[in-house]
Amino acid sequence: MSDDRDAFEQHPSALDLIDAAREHLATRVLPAITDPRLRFETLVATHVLGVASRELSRGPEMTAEIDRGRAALPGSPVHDEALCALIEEGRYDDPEAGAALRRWLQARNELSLFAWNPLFLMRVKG
Amino acid sequence: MTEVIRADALPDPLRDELLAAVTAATGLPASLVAARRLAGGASMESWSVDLRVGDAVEALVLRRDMGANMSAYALDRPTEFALLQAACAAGVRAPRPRYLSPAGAARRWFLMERLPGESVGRKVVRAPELAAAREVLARQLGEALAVIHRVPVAQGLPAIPGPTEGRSPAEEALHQARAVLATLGLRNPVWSYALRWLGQRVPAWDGALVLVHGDYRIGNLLVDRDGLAGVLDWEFAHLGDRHEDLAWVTVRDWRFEQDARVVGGVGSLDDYLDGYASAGGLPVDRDAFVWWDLIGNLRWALMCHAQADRHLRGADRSVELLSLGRKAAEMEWELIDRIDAIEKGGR
Repeated sequence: MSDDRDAFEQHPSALDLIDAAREHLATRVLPAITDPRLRFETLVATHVLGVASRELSRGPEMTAEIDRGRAALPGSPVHDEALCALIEEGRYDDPEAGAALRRWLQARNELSLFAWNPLFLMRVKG
Repeated sequence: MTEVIRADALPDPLRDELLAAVTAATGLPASLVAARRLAGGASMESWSVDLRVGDAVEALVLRRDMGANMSAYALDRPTEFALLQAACAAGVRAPRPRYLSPAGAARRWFLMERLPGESVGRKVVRAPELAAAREVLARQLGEALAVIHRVPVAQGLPAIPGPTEGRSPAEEALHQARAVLATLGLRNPVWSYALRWLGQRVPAWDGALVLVHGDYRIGNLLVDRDGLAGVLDWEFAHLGDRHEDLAWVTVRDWRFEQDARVVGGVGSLDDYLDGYASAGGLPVDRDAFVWWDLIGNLRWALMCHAQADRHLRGADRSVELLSLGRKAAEMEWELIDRIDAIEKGGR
């Protein structure tokens, strides 16, 4: 088990910086904007900072989960490139292998959606 | 019609070019009454323009190239102008094209009539004042599409792109998706899986090559209290399979979060397809419909990444374009979910 107590840690963290910038845009900048186009673009900027924050907060956990799941697929691909090659060779044409692949793809996708748009995920999963 | 974003004055050289073209076309003196910039697409500049031509004032919309095309498959302005003329003549509800830029214009444009109505998707699916329109809209969308698919495109029009000889429209769509993927230089197992799955299930084609609008969805349609008021944005028109157009408006993202209303967030599939059939549309093959719905999701996901790429390559720096690359996860979720349901014996 690794001990990261000696790892170089910035304080405040990157996550703290992103969250502060996002809060600033949302509470100080957005209310002051009257131009509709600039307001929309600033809303998007605020949103993408939220995406980055959610992703960083679960980043290591997400990556490990994705990697473990992929390695457990038929053919044991170690990265996306290898998995794409196996898909294109027909390794997942078999119904059982295809079902396993789809389960992993959807789990991976849910992690992306957790960062990008948690509300979408709630909506489509019911 | 479209959300106003800026009240910029029309640049003098463009104003002079417009007025000269209108005078050349009509033989009447023309002057500018009012102009304001509209929210436009990613590759097109749009203006609301009022011109006095002789004694009358014309309410118009200007569509003008921005210099960079969003897609290699998009029409140029003179072709779009000619196509709009043909569509209107065939009875399609669309803005009448009025004046075309001279051949020497650095950035081509045309002026078309300005129709009343709402085109912003989120408003079309939610605005209380459009509730009655939504009750009839799905059926009207089907009816209008049947008229579009009958527009005669063989005579008197500049060349409209179609599938490469030897390929069906579905094979052409797969080819184009692979070409976009190669340009992006990205690898994504969802795309690899979807392309393989779709490639093994290319629908049989009955050989009917029709005019396909190419972007027929909520957001590109003007809606007023009576329903469909006009079909806009013809730049992606081409010759193809009717199912491509039929399925595009059912892609989840064009429902603007009104998921239960499968057709553009406004109505039911039964009403839509009934409307298409009642207006003389050719028979609909449900398997082909589903295939085009799925590849629609894949194409939109790839297009989102292509937009993010414009920012990343520095061609068009925009946080909005960049964010679309992450939005693609929504279409990818839909693709896998739908394919999984089909593999399990459902739809």
